[in-house]
This record gives sequence, C-alpha cells and structure tokens, in this order.
Amino acid sequence: MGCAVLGMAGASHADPEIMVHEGDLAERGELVATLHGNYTPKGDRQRDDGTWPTHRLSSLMAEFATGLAPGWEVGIHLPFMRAGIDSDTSQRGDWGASAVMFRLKHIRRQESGLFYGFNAE
Amino acid sequence: MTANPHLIWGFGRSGGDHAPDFNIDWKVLHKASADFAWGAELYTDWGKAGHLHPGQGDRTLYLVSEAETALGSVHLGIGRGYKETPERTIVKLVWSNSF
Repeated sequence: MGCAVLGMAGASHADPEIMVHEGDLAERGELVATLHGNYTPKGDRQRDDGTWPTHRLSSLMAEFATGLAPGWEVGIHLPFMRAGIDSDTSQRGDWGASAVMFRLKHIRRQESGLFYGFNAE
Repeated sequence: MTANPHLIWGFGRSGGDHAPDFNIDWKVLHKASADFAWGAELYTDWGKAGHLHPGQGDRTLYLVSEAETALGSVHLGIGRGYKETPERTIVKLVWSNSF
C-alpha cells in the first residue's frame, strides 16, 4: 500500500541514516534499538564544503526510539563516521561525529491500508 | 510502496540560499515470505523548494533485502549513485530489535 511521509530535518549533508520511513512505530513502553551502518567503496575524493570525502567513508549510527502514544514515536540518533582517505579535509582513519539528533514521528493509518504522517528531526 | 518527501533546512550557516532542500525517497518491497522481502529504494534530490528541478538532481538507487531473524530484523542494501551524487557505490546494513 502506498503512503506518503513528510520529513522535516534540521540539518543537511551526508546522512548516516539511509532509509525510507515506513508505517512502523514503537509501542509505548517498547524500546526499539537500531544500528545503521554504511560504507562507500567508491565516492568523491575531495570536498569543497569542508566535509569529509565520501570515498571509503564509513558511517555508523545508533538509534533508540520509543512510543509516546498511539501513532506517536520519539527517538534519538547518535551518528559517527570514519574517514576513508587523506584529503584537504580529512585524515584516513579519523573518527568523527555529526550532531546528535532528536526526532518525532507521527503515523496515521487508514482502514484501506494506506498510511501517512511526518517525521521531524 | 512508500514515498517520503523531505524538506531539509540547514541551520548555522551564514549567507547563501535559505530555502529548504526538497528530496523524495521511494521504496518498493516485495514480500517473498513472512520473513523475507526484497525490493528497491530510490533517493532523489529535487533541488531547492521554490525552484525545483525534478529529475535533474542527484539520485541513488538501491537494491535491498529485508529479513526477520531470531536476533532482530536485518536490512541490506547495495546502491549506486548517479549524476553528481558523492557516493558512486555504497552498501548499507541496518539491524533493529525491540525490547
């Protein structure tokens, strides 16, 4: 079934969380732990915006979420990354972290199976 | 099938265009069994809200699979970037469990 989720984020650039938000939510009292990992075997070797090049970049992000009420979920993201190469903006093997992110997600389900909502981070 | 339209504001940077970025991410999944599914995800960049350029921005296509295991759910994706996407080839792995 199709749905649309409008996401609003407070930060841009390389995202350690590569996922399409779907209609699943944690129940109230339930803790959902998620570990996101990604690796770029082939990417840009230089960046002109001060960020690390994506070539051989590793990203790891821990996410914890819990339900607030039916249809509502809150979560926290703890992102880390490891530089893959030496460049003007990076040293191979260096570890770094993006800002901790908090998010609020709301999903509404229709009887037809369609669902929609928003996710704000 | 799922679609995620995004509005993205960056804070803390001086100058430049303050209009939010607009992206749309898509996912199509086929449930092969109760514990396994496979499909595709497409992440597309439409540019700045207010002067959108649908179809002209960066995009990344993933082939994905998802499985439910005794230790939680696992999502695996292999992606390829097009246009000026910084990531030409990318792999992702997501593990999730509830307590």
